[in-house]
Amino acid sequence: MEIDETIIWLSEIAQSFGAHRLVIDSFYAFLSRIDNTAVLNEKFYNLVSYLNRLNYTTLLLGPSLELSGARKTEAIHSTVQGSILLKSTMMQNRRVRQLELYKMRGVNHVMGNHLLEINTSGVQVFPRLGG
Amino acid sequence: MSKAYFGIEGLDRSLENGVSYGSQIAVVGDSGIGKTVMAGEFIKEGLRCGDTCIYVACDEPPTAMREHLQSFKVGTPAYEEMGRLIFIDAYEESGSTEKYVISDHRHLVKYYALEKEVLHSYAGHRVRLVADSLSTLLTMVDTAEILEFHRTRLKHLRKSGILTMDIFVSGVLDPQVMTITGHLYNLILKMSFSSSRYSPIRQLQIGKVKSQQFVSSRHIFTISPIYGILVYADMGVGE
Repeated sequence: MEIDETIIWLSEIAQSFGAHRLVIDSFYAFLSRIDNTAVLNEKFYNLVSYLNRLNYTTLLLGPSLELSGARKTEAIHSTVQGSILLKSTMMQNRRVRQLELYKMRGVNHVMGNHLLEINTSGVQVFPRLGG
Repeated sequence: MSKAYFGIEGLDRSLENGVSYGSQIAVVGDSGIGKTVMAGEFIKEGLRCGDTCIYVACDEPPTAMREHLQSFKVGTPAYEEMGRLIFIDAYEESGSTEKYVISDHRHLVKYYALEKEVLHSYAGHRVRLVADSLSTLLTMVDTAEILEFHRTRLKHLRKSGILTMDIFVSGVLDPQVMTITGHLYNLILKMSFSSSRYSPIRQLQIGKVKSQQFVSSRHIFTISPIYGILVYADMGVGE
């Protein structure tokens, strides 16, 4: 199926449910088919602007963009309203999860890495010290 | 605004104006000098004058402090039931039966989050907070993170009007960290053994009182099993 068709098809399904929130897990699954960065940027832009028009709040999940090459990353970050990076790093020989609010357009936010835990209550974030 | 005291006569006499709520006190002392006894006296005094007391147990389980207070004839169950005495277990990483437990000692943000949560639930009360010993929690953490933690935490405690006593074991933290940290506290108490090899003597010294005049001479003190810390009048010892 064409990428453009997929975008329209996804939107129609969401519309048929009267949804206000949409989660795409993961957007990279279909955009990864595109090798050309310029085309990828265009398709991603189309996807986001289409969803904006439909007034959905969309959570686009994807693999670590750092692994995907800087040019792809920058285009995607500039198109969306906010970017949240989830990381897994080694600290004192133990692996910890961290969350970084990389971008939040028009919203004052605490930058840097925040400790993230997954527990019985769900996801818990501990804001980093310093504010 | 009311002033607080330690409940240790000789020390309170040296601090005629007492300490304000919202002040931070650093107690720095050798291992075995009596820092926990001082913490116990501080809590006992707080309970006596109507404060809500929060004790963070880092070096021993909270039960040890309960027993310690009971040895000074302070029955803890009644105060705990009334919500006037609260223990935070920062000793057991798992298997604690306490209501408030720090399950992961590596992340100061988690400690800070729990401490804030507990303090928030006692907002509007006159609160004393004792962390015994805070240096234990900081041993596995980078210097930059320790300093950030102190700055953020102490600012919050000051703003919230919490009378705080943080205990540090001498020599555990880097001297440079201790010097920078010391600047953030209103009052510093130093407890040490005298250099006498044959008859060690306990000594107490006021190291700093922010914006106040104070006498920094050392005072000999002993620990009585009945009366707790007994500070002797200044005899110019160690000068």
